[in-house]
Amino acid sequence: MSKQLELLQGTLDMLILKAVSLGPLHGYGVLLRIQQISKDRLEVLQGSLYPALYRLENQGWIAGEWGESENKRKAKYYRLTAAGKRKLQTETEKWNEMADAIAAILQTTPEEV
Amino acid sequence: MTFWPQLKSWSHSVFGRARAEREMDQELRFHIDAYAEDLVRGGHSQQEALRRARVEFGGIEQAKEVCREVRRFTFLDSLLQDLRFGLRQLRKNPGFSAVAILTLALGIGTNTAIFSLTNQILLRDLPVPHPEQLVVLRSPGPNHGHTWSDVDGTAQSFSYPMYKDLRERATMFSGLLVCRDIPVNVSGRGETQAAQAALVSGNFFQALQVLPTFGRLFTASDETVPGANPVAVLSYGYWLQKFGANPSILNKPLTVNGIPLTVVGVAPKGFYGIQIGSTPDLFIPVTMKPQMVPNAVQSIDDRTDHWLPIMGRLNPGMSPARAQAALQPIYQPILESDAKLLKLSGNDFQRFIAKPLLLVNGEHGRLVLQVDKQEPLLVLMSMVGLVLLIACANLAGLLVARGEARRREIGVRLAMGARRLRLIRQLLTESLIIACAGGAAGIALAWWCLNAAVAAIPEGGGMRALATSLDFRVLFFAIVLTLATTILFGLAPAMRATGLSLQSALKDQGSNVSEARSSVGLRKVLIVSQVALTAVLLAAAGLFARTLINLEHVNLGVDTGHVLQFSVAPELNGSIPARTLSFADRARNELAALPGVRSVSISTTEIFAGEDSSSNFTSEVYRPGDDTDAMYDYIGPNYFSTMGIPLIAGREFTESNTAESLKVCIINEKMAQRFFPGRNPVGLHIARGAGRLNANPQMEIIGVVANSKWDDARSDIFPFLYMPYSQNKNLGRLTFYVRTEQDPSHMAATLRSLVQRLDPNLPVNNLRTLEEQVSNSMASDRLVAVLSISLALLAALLAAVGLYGVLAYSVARRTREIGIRVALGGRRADILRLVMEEGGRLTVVGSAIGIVAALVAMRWVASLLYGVTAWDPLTFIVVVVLLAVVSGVACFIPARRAMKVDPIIALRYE
Repeated sequence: MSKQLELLQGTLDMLILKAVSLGPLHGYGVLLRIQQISKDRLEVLQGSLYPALYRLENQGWIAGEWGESENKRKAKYYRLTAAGKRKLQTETEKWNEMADAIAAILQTTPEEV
Repeated sequence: MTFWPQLKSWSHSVFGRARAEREMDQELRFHIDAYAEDLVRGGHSQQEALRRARVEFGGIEQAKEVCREVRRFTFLDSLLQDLRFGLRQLRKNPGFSAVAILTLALGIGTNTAIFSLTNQILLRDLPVPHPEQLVVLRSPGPNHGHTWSDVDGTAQSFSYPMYKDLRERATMFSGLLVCRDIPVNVSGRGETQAAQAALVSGNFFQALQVLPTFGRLFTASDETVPGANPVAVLSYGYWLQKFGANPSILNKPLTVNGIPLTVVGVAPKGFYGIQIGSTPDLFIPVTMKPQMVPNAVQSIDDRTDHWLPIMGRLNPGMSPARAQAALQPIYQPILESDAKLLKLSGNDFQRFIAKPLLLVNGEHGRLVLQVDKQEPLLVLMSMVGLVLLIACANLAGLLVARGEARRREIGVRLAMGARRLRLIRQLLTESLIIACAGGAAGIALAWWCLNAAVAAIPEGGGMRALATSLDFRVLFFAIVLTLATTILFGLAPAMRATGLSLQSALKDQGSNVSEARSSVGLRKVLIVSQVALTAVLLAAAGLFARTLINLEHVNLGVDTGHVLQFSVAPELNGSIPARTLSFADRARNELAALPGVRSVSISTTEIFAGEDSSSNFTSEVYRPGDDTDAMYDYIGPNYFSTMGIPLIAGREFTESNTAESLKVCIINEKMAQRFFPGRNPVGLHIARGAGRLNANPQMEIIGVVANSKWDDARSDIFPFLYMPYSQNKNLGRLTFYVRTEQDPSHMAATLRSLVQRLDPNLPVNNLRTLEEQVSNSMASDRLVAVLSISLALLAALLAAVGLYGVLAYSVARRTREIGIRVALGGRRADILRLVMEEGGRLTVVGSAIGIVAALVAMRWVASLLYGVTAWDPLTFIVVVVLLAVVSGVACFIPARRAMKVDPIIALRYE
C-alpha cells in the first residue's frame, strides 16, 4: 500500500458531499469511493466517518434512506440534497480560491516580491 | 423538502431515541460486515477478516458516542442560538417588545387574579372529604315565633328541638349537623378580644369527616344538656395567631363571654366550617347557647325559636332526590305536632303543615357570601375575559405586522441558504420568548391585583378571610391561551413569509401590494374586533362609574362629615341590660366632655352596615289592610343633631326619657305619611305588633324627623321608628357616634383609651369615621367601577396601538403611491383624509358592532347599576366620543406622516 495522506482539518465533510454527489452511497461505500477517487492516496479514519455523516444529515445537506445493498442486505444510503448541492458548490469554490491563493504564495520566487 | 431530514433527526433525538440507537447499530454492523466480506474476498479467513475489520474501524463504542453527541449538540446548539438571536431581535425593537409583553401581562394577570378570587368564592368545594355527599336543609313557608336568618328568606333556619327530632329519625344521613356563627369575647389572656365562635352539634366534626390537628374534636358526648358542655375546639388559624401554635393550651381553660371553657383540641389547617367566608376562631357545643348568647329571650328548647342552619351528609350511594322523598313522611308529623303546640287553626294550620323539607347541594357549603358577590364577580370575570380576548387580538396584530415587516429580511436569509424549518423555528422562538416574558410579568401583575382586590374589600362580611393565593390552574389556562395565540399568529406569517418566492420577497415591498393584502385584511379584522370589545368594556366602565358616582352623591339624609363611630358589646362580657345602660350613659357623658367633641349619641344597631330590625307597628288610626311594616332601632339623646338629621316636628329624646318614664318614640317622614296620612302624628300613639292595638304598651310619638338611609346608599327609604335606648329591655350592644370640631380621625386613639378606662375588658370594634363606614358599604361597587375603568382604558390604549400599527404600516407601504398622487397635484389635505378615512372606517365599524353588543350585554348587569339605566344614552355617547378621539389620535400620527411625504424621495424609494 502506498503512503497515505491524512485529511486536512474540515475537508472530510466536503469529500463526503462530493462522494454522494456522484450517486447515493452507504457509509462503507462513501469510504470506498473516496479511496477509489483519490487512488488510495487519502486515508479516511473509519471511526470519524459516521459522526461526519450524521452531522451532514442533521444539517440537511445529505439525506439518509434505508435500502438494499449489492449483497441483498439492509443498508442506509445517503444522497445529496438541494441544500447540499449548494453547500458543495460554495465549499468547492472556497477551496479552489484557497488552494489557488496558497499555491500562488508557495510558488512565489524572490524576484516576484 | 429540505427541512425533512432535520425534522426526522430532530424527532428521532426527541421521540425515537431507541429507534435511532437501533439504526445506528445496524448501520455500523453493516459497515464492518461489508468490510470483512471484502477482506475475505482478498484471501483472509472469515474469522481473521472480521477481527481485522473491527480493529481497523477503531473504537466502535467511541464512534457511537460521538454520533450521539452530534445529534444532541445540533439540537441544543441551534436552540441556544435561536434564543440568543431572539433576545437580540427583541432588544432591537424595544417598542414592539414592551407593548407585546405588557399586553400579555395584562391579559394573563387580570384573568388569573379575578378567576382566583372567583374560584375561592364561587367554585371551591368545602375542604372536607366527599363534599358531594353534603346537603343543606331548607323548609320554605311560614314560621311562627322568632326566626333568625342570614340568607334564603327564613327557609334555612330551624329550632334546636326540630333538629334533634330530625337527627333521631332521618336514617338516610350518615350525619345531620348544625353550625351557627356568633360573636363572642375571649378573655383570660390579658386584654379581652372579640372573636367569632361557631355553635356546633356534637357530631359536627364526625359528620364532616374532619380529623384534629391534635387533641380531640367533639363527639356526641359533648352535646348533652344545656350548659353542661364547657369545652371548645380552636381553629388552626386562631391557635396559630393567638397562642403561637403552642400545644400547652390543651386542657387549659379559656374564658369566653365570662365562662371558662376547656380547650380540648385544634381543628385541621384550612377548616372553616360549612360556609365560605366564615372564619370561626373557636367551636363550642350548641348546648352552650344559653351561656354564649346573652340575654336570649327564648330558651334553647323553645320550638318557636328558629336559629340554626342544618346540613347533612347523605349515606354513600343515597341520591338527594331519594333522600328528599324519604324525608317528607318524617318531617310531616313533627310539623303537625308543632302546629298543635302553636295552637294554629284553619288556614294558618294548613299552610304550616304544607311546608316541604328540601335538600339543596351542599358541596360548596351554605351559600351566603355568594348571594351578594356572585353577580359582581361574574361581571368582572366577563370583563377580564374580554380583556384577554383583546390582548390576544392585539398580540396577533403585532405579530402579523412584525411578520410582514420582516419579509425582506427573511427573503434575504432564505437566499443566503437558510433552511425554511430553521427560520420558522427562529420566528417561533421569538414568539415564545415574548410569551414567557409576558407570562412572568402576568404572574407578578396577578399577584399584585389579587392582593389589591382583597385589600380593597373591607373587613367583615367574610371576604377578608380569602387567601390571597393565585389559582395555578387559571394561570395555566391563561398562559396556554396566550401561547396558542403567539404560536398561531407568530407561525402564520412565518409560514407565509418563508413560503413566498424569493423574487417577490426581495422586490421592494412598496410595489408589491397584492402579496400583503391578505395579512392587512387579517389585521383589519383584528382591529375591528378590538375596537368592538373595547366599546363594550368602555360602556360597562361608564355605567359602573356613573353608578359609583351616583352612590357617592346620593342623599343619605345623614351628615357623615366629622363623625367618628365605634361599637361595643358589653353583653358578651356578661353585662346585664341595666349595667349596659349605665355604661352607655356614663360613656356618653364622658365622651361629650372631651375637648373637640361637639356632640355624642348612640344607636343600638350600626348604621350603613347592612343590619336592620323590622317589626309590625299598629297606630291608633290603623285601618285593617294598612301596611304595618317598619324598621326600628333604639337611640340616645341628641342622635338626630349628632347625625345631622333634621327634626321636622316635635322634639328629640332627652335625658328625661328614662326606663321608668312614659314610653315614647320618634318616627320618620315616610312612616308619618304611611301610618298617619294627612295628620300630625305628634302626640298620637303607636304600639308594636300587627293588627288592632294589642297588649303591647303604647308609645307616644314625640317627634317626626326627615327621611334618611339606614342599610346602605342603595337602599330605599323605609318607614322608621326610633325608640330611646333607655327603654330597651334587652340593651346589649351600643354604637357610639361622636361629632367632632376638627378632623375626626385624630380623635380615634383618645376615644379608644377612654373606653378602656371605663371598662378595660371591653373590646372596641369598628372604630372608624362615618365616611369610611359609608365608603365600606360600597366596597364592591367601587371594586367593580375601579377595575372596569382601568380595564377599559387599557383596552382603549391597546386598540389605539393596534390601529396606529395598521395605519403606519399601510402608509409606509403606500409611500410611492402617495408620492405619485402628490406629484400629480393631489392636495395634502386629500392625502390626510385618505389615511384618516381608512382608520375611521375601522373605528366606525368596530364601534357600531361594539355598541350593539354592549346594548345587549348591559341588560345583564342592570341589577348592579344605581341611578342609571343599562342603555343610558349619555354613557354611550361618551363611549363613542372617546373611541373617536382615541382612534383620531391613533390615525392622525400616520396620516400626518403620509401628508409630509416628499414626492421626490417617495419616487426614488424603489
